[in-house]
Amino acid sequence: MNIGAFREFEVSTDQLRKTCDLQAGGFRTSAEFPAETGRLGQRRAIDAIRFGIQIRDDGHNVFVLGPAGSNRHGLAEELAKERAASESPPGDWCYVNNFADPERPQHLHFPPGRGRKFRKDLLDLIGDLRVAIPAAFESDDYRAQLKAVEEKTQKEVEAHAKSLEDRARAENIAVLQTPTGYVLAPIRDGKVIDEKEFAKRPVEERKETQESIERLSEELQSHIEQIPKLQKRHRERVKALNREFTEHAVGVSLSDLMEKYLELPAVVAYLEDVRSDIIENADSFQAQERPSLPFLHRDASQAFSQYEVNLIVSHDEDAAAPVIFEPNPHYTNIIGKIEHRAEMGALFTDFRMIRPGALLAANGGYLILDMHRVLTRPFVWEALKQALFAKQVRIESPGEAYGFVGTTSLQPEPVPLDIKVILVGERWLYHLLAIYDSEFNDLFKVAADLDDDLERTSDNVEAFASLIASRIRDKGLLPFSLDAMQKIVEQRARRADDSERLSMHMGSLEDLLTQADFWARQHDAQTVDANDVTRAIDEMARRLGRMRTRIIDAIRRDTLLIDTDGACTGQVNGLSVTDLGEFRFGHPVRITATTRIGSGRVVDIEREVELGGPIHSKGVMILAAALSSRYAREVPLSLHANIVFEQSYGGVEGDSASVAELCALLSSLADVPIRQNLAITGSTDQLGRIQVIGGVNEKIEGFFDLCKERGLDGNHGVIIPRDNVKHLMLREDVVAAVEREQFNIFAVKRVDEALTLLTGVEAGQRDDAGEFPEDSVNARVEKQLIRYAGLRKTFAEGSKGDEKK
Amino acid sequence: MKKSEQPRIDRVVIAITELAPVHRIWGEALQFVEETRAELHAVFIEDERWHRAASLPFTREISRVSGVDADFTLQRAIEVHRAVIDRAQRQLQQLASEAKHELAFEVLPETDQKRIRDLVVDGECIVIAPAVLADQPLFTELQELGCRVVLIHE
Repeated sequence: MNIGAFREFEVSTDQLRKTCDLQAGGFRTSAEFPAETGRLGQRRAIDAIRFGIQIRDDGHNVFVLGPAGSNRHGLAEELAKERAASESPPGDWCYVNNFADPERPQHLHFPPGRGRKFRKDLLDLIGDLRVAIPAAFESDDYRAQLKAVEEKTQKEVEAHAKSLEDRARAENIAVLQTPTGYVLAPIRDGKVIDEKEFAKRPVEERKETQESIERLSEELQSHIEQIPKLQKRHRERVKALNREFTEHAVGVSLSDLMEKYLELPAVVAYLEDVRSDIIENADSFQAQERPSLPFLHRDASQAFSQYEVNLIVSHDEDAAAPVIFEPNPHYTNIIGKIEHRAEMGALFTDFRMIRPGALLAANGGYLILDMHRVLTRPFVWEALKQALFAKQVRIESPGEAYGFVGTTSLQPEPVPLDIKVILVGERWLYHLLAIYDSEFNDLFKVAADLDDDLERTSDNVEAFASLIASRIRDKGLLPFSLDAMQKIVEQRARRADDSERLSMHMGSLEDLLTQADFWARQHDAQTVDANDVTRAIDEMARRLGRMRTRIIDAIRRDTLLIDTDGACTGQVNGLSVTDLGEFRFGHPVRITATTRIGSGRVVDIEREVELGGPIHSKGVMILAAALSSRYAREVPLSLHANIVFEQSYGGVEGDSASVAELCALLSSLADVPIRQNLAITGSTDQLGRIQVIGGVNEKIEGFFDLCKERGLDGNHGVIIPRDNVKHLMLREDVVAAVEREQFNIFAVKRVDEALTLLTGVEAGQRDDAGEFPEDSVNARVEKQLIRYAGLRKTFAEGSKGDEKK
Repeated sequence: MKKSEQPRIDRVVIAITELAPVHRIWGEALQFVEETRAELHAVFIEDERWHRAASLPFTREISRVSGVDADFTLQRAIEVHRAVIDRAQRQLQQLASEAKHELAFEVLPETDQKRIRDLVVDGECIVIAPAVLADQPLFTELQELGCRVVLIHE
């Protein structure tokens, strides 16, 4: 039967590629198209994002679902900024010293812009104090008062000693000073007497002298014990004097500052702490002598640094609420960190070395994060959830947060958090988190699911063309001619795998625009035309086409055996698609089936060797059901069939070859050869209806390229499911070949139609008596199955007889 | 006083004792030496009172820091004495070396009035001494000889 006999199944050429016509708009180039935002076709997702960022509830954070390149980050940021523009900026945050517990720095909150002013005010204050306090201590007045204090203490000490010495002298006893203490010795005429002279004294006098020395020694000891008390009293007097002078030096400056921040009680309280601390540590601000080791030197200016202000977040008064996108969300970039300074081999830190993360930078506004990166950076996801649950940011290292480190470090006071987090990620990430992370659903209650494609209505096509034109302008590319614009719209339909839809994948669109612009500039064009777009598409395919070339080459050299002419029983050309991310291509695969008497089992060889995926195995199992339901229903299914993807050494997945497998199986059973100049794709249900498959364009083109390589004779073609016709967006050279009747594309709804096309023999329908027409394929299949059943029965009876014997 | 008005001084004698503020005495002496180019002589005056007190069996030394007392034996008096003399000599020699001056150092019993007299009567002399020396017989001797004495208070 000639291929021309099957015109009823042919797909008309106008259905092979739905072209785009933008003539109605009257524009000549992309420069004339109106502007269009990236929000086209994303109404549902936009409403979801807006809902999420407007609702004031802690758990209503947003997860934007969409593939990479779908402008998901751009859209989230655009909408967040749109909302933020109508909101007031949040306040400023500072960390300052906690004088009562320096290891726990305290925070101060200011209205926007005032944190920065406060930091400057404190720096000015420190500048003043650096001069005023040392000057106060170097003044004549201070020195005079200090001298008076010292003299007073000296007099107290001496008065006591003098009194003792006077009384001792009255009793003829001298108080002698040694380098380390005192010695009491008897004197006569003002001279200390020695042992010989003492021995000459009357016994009574010697006894009295010894008793006097003993008594005076006790008094001297008592006096010595009083000296530390006198010294302590002296220090207190000096300290009181220092306080008095310091208070006078800082009083005016600090009072002015407190007046300035009167409406901020926490700030005033902090300034009061500053005053108390400066006065309490007045001694620290005096110029000190340099120590013998230079590196131990800490001048008075360092003592003032504890009054500095660490401004961690600041906003201008007239700014909007912050919108922060953190592209590298590792732990410290999100939570913040405490830096350290190495000194003499040891690490030091203080409140001035606390650094904020993105959570604090976005506090009072919106934080946008890429979810894949959040999950691949250690500790970030848990820390983020913890902060959102606690509604505060606690800046600490991961080691401290998880209890790995016992070293004492700073524990800054946690900052209250009021933030809306927008996570952006793939759909599978969202669904996995929703299932496996019980806290995820409590925190991210709003899902904004971006549409991958757009319905190809005339209005949408116009808007989409405007969107393309906007991107061209935004990227500063050459203007695109109208035919180039049409070509791009058509490419977007091809990318969507559907002639009635347009892919909204902005990343790949921009890549195409950029590359087309590049090729146009290569020949010094002022406008990008359709050829440049085609060149960009072809070059991309060529760059990624190494594997495809290798497969075609293997087929051409008969390394990979694919017949494209003649006929063969139990062998059919199936079609497969290989996906390389940004590029995918189709190629034929040889599927064979063998049958023999058996127990009703259809063996999927791919599954047996664990090369078949579950969907493929399901498809093969459906074949057995299809056989049982269609043929010889009154007898047991008594065949054993093997189905193989020949020369397939990788995994096979999907059920798009199930029609091809069934046809090969029926061919084997009916002993009717299948035409090898046709290839077929489609899945079947167990009733023999053919269902849609993916990658239809690539599959057709894969077989076309091979046939073209071997020479098109008008009888080559591909059979596809009827319901896939709407997805056709074939290459122009394929369409041209069909128009010239060099290649054929057939669309079928049932397996019988495919069988008729493949074998050239009528498949056959049951008549009123339930019989298939004589010599039809189905009649032959049924006849063979009945024969197998009979043989099996005979064989079984023979076996029983043998057993009885 | 201008240099031309300065009286002639041939020798500056530093008289120190166990408790003398060596640096302050040296500072004062240095001024005279640099102004007059006089020779420099240090004399450590041994305090005999300590040895006498130490010879008594009941004498005890009371610590200036803690108030704790301990036997003050002759041995202890000699040890303390020697340590103090060594330290004073080292200090003075270093100070003289830093100031690039020659310094003669000797130890004298406070009773050796002949040697003291020899030192001060040979040419114009000035004695720089700690204030505690005012109670010593040496001070009276010097005054009787008409020697100029500068007392340094602690």
